[in-house]
Amino acid sequence: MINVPAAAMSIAGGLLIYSTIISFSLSFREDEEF
Amino acid sequence: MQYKQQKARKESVNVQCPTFNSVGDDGMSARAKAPQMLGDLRPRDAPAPPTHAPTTTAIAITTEIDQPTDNPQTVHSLPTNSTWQASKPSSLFPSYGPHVPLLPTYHLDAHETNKPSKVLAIGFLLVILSSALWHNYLPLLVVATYVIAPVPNWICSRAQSSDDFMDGGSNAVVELGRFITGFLVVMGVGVSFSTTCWVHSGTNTSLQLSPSSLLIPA
Repeated sequence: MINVPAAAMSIAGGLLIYSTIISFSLSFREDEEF
Repeated sequence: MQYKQQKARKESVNVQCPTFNSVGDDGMSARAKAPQMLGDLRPRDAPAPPTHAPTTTAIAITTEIDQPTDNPQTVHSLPTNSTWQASKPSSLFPSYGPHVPLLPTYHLDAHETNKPSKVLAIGFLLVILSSALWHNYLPLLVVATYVIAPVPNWICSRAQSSDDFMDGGSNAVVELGRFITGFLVVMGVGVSFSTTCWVHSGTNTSLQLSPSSLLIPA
C-alpha cells in the first residue's frame, strides 16, 4: 500500500484536478442559457 | 496581396545585395550597407543615426551595429513605423537592427488567462509525484476517479433534457447521475485515504478511530 505523504499528495492533487474540472464546466455552462 | 508586396521587396533586396557578406560594385558588402538602408527607412522626425565609417573587416562593423542606440527616442519610434517593419528582411539580416522586443503583446494576455491550467498542471504533478517517488502507482486511481466523476452527471442531465423538458429539474435519472457522481467524488478521497499503511497496520491506536478504519477493519 501507499505511504502517508503519498496519500496526502494524491488527495491534494485530486482535489485540485476536480475543482479545475468543476470550474471549467461552470464557466462554459453560461453559454447554454437562453 | 500583402504577401506579394513583401516578396517583391525581398526580391528587390536580393537584387541589391546578392549575398550578405559579398562585396558589391561599390566595394561595400551588404552588412556594411545595412546602416545606410536603415537610415533611409527611418521616419523623418526621428534624428539621424550616427554614421559609422566603413572599416575593412565585417566583424568590426557587426559590433558597431549591435550596439544599442544612445537616443531612446529613436528606439521608441521605430516599432511604430510600419514601413520599416514590413520591409525588414529578417532572413537576410538575422542580427540586424536596433534592440527592440519583437515578441507580440498577446504573450501577457496568455499569461493572465492560463491560471486554471496551471492549477490543473499542479494537481497532475502532485498525483504523479506521489506515485513515482515511492514506485507505487496506486494513487493514479485518484485521477481516474476524478476524471470519470462528472461523466454520469453529464449523461443523466442530457437524458433529462431530451426526455422531459418541463419537469423542474428533478428526475429519477438525474438523481441517479448525481448519486453516482457523489459516490465517485467521495471514492476519490477515500481510495487514497484507505490504502495508506497506517490504516491497515493497527499498531497506532490513536489512528484506529478514523472512519476509514471503521469501514475497513485492519
